[in-house]
Amino acid sequence: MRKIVAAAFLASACVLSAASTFAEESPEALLKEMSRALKNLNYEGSFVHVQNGNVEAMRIVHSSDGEGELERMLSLNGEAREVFRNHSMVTCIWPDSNSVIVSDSKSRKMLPKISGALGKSDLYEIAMAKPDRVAGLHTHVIDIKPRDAFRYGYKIWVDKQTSMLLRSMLLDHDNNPIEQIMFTSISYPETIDPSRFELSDDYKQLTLANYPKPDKPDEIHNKVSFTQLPAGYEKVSETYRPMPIDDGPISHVLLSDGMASVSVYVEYVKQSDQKDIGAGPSSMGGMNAYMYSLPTAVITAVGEVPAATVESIAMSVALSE
Amino acid sequence: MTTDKRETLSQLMDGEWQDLDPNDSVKSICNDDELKSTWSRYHIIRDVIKNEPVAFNSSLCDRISAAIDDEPSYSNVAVLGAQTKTSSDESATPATQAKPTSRWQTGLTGLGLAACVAMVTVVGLNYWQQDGFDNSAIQTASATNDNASSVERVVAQPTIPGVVLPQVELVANTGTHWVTSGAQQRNAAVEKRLNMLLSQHIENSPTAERQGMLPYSRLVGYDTAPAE
Repeated sequence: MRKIVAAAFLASACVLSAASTFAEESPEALLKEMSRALKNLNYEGSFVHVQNGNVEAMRIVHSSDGEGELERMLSLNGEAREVFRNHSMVTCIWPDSNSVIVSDSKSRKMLPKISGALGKSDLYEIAMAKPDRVAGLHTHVIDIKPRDAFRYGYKIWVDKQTSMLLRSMLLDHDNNPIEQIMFTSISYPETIDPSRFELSDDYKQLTLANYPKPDKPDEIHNKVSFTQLPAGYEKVSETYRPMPIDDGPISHVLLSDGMASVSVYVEYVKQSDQKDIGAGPSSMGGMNAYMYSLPTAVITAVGEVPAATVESIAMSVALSE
Repeated sequence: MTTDKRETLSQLMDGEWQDLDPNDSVKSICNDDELKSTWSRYHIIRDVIKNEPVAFNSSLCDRISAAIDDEPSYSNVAVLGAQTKTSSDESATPATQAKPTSRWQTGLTGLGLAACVAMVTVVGLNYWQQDGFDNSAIQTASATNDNASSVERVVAQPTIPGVVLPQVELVANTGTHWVTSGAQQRNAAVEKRLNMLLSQHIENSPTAERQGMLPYSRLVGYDTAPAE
């Protein structure tokens, strides 16, 4: 009996030790832990995505192995849209119209590094908020408030035991919710059968038909510069690569302020050859885009930032010959 | 321990060697008792949190005991580690040989009982999750067979292998909606182009890993047709 009691006490001490380890974390350290958990954990669950009164229920299963991440997401309402992510490709499927979007899957280790602290103190105010519960699990809550109107705020709920992201809310400058996701149930299986992440043969055919794999690798270029970026945004990388939307290579510049990022695409097409690009602003939830036409190129800025930010960034593009 | 050292340990735990000098990192751990004990503690914590099989291994208590012995900040637990050894020795004595119980031993028993609840919770959680996973595995086999069909079949009965989903009545394909100010009609070509650029952005964004599933759920999530 004493052995059992002692063992139980030790197990308890271990659990408490784990809890105290995370309790001591700073918000920034906790965000790092959360990123690792999102990447490394096996998890499976249902979540809702809420925006402008629309509620989408979705199911996700995620696994990680030595080669990278495997993920499958399925919309539970309406058209059964799916996203498959494996070591080489990301495939988004709209089955009703046989529409597929395919892009290269990037290992997180290959992504450009953003420098410095996650939230620079003059751009964001980051603090721990009152603990909460999500999907029946106890969570830390992190408040990230923007200090100006060029970026969004975030409220993030992190599982105390696993550091998994369980709820995330995107907020405007006045702290009003723009959109959010929230797990309603989640489990952490020890293993997940890899076959669950495989595309069906029909989808594989769609994928091949829709994605002529670029035969040229990314090139590093420095053709795009900016006359005046919104405060805090810095150029992180620039590549010059073929993309399925265009015949020729496209410059892709990534900008970040440490929390949010914006992509700027430059398609080198003469104005006389440019198709209807839908110039001007577009939005989808918290995601904004701004497109405009130059005599020699089409500029598109896309990012999870306010509309004014993508417009400001797009309009400050300067191309070198 | 400094934040840098803790960060180094975390990187080693995650197998992120590329930014470290392996020789220096390993040497600094081996030469520092506090780092060694933290390294050990992190592994035990990870094992418990990840519900790895070690949670059911009889050596768990020994490992926990050893780790706690190494951990200077838990002085009361260090005493318990010593007591554990005593208990082990005493287990060989006949049960009829009653011993007087001290006050702290009584208190310890109370704590132990409380800890039993915690342990049952951990074990119970593992069992529940394994149970759920086993169910999924069983359903996977049948779902996989069902999936060897046409796209229309998949549409009519959407499945993630391992998950039984309700039958849904599909709406006409409306795709993902970008709202363009001033536009009277949706432009499918423009939306397709924006979706492709958004997909590239998500996959290349250095900050996307902090947003979890939000970027992709946004990409495939909006299905409600805009107001006519």
